[in-house]
Amino acid sequence: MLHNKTIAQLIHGLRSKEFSSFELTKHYLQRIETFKNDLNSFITITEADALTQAKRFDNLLAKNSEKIPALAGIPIAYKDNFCTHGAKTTCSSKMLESFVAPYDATVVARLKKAGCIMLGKTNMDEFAMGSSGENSYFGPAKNPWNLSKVPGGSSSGSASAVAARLTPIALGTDTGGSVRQPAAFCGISGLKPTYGLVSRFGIAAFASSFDQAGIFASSAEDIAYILPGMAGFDEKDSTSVSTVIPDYTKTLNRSLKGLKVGISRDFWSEKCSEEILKLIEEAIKELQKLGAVMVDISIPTANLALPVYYVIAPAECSSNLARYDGVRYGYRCSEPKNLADLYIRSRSEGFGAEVKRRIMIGTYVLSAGYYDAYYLQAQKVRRLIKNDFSAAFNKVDVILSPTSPTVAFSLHEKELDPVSMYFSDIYTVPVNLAGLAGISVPIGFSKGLPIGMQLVGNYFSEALLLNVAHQYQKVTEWHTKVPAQFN
Amino acid sequence: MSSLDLQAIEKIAKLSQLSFTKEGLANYQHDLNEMLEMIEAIKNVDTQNIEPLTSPHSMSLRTRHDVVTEIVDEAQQGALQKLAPEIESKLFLVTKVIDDHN
Repeated sequence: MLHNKTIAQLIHGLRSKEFSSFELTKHYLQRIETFKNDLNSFITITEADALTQAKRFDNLLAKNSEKIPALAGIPIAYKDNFCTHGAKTTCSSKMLESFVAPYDATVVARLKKAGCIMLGKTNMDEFAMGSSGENSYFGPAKNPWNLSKVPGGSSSGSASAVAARLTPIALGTDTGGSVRQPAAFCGISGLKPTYGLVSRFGIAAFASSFDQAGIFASSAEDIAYILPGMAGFDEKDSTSVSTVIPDYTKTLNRSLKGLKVGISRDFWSEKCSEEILKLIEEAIKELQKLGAVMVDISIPTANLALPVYYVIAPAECSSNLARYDGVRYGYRCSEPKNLADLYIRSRSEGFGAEVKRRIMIGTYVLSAGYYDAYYLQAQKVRRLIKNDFSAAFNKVDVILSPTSPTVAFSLHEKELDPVSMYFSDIYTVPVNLAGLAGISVPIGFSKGLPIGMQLVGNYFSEALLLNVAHQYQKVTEWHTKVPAQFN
Repeated sequence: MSSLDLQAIEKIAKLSQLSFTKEGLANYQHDLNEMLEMIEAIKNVDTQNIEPLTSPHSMSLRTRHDVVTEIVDEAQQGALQKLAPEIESKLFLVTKVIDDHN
């Protein structure tokens, strides 16, 4: 079936005219339509534009033109916080329910130029704040492995859509784990690049020193095909780093012999379920069979990562979300009595509960009298965490851990205890604090629900991470599994 | 451990340009105090002589020349202003600013 093909097979199939871009695009659009009520993965489906683009690529392919871009005809979906010119960008919020961006995010423009065809915009936790998908104004996306479970968040719809093969590729954003954790919950691969590798221009900002666009796919190999199309310096993003972007597919097959993998069992074992620990040990054995060597490491400040994150990220969010004031765009309350009422009621009516929680705590930690004790102190502890990772990478090449301490939990299970939700990200958040690269790959199942392993690499080591993940996926089959209902 | 009373929550809400019902305030008081309980762990960490980290990479934000590079013509201006809740004569309309509100 078309939706079970790899990116390499799709590129080959399109160029050899085994199938047309129109057929491929139509196939995915039909699947989205068939399963949209079951999964609620999509907020907007851009059918007409997608088919128009597909026909354009078919004309180019028919002429055997040399000007065919590298990813011509490859379907893609974008989390609904990527600005897309002409299609709504809602951030799953009432605040931006009808907002249509007047420009494309840099990443969207680059992938369009590379030939990707946008199928639509995916569901998410509001303004990327959440770990389950339940904070969406449009209702939660569902986990294709069990529709009563969350797909994870905040890139819930992107993960759900790829896992159900409604799209071969979807982009998300990862601020504290929002690509890796839903990838783990949905049994797919999800990469968070090094901070600064991928432009943030045109992505609705949540926490500017953490946010990174990431990729969901069924395999690390598929991710390797997409990453070059979006990565690289962007002058419009003042935190964009100038670095050489390699062809990540060329190094996928390097041997893992002698690879040093850092593991910290003390850190995982107290918080992780037994089944996850068991599967992690099996994944470790597979890597050892491939020649990797396990090295015990310690990140002493890792247990401070969540508290540090929940000072700095809300602080940054309280600043970033100040722009939503009902004046130039977005939701405006009806009949404001005065300017203050316009601001306050537009924001109070436009934002959901979790967003308001984070704005409030962020405002508090930045306020006079508390700034030094909280925000400044958190920034200093953040440096200690970064230093601990740097020390670890003097001894090892990659660091391995579970992606999440549990499998996907049930919808509404953590609604009444929002703080307990934050602990889903206990292994992913340290990576964002240090700005490192991280990938989650599926390593098995527990009671029918997927489990993911996280590999963390040093700065700009995406080629190595994808290589390690690909070698693991060559000797295992977890990444090929699709839920029966969607196969 | 710091604990926020209702008065503190009201002050934070005002700074955040948010408002809540009485019940809402009490709920947020509970949630924020739970978050603070988690966050308290950072207070005991020795950070003497440690520089704050503002970004994962040591970088100064790039600057650019102070010249207009985006030329916005009438059509573009129209497209941008189409997003606004209220426009008149190409101006964003808000409620009267000069009044006696606090």
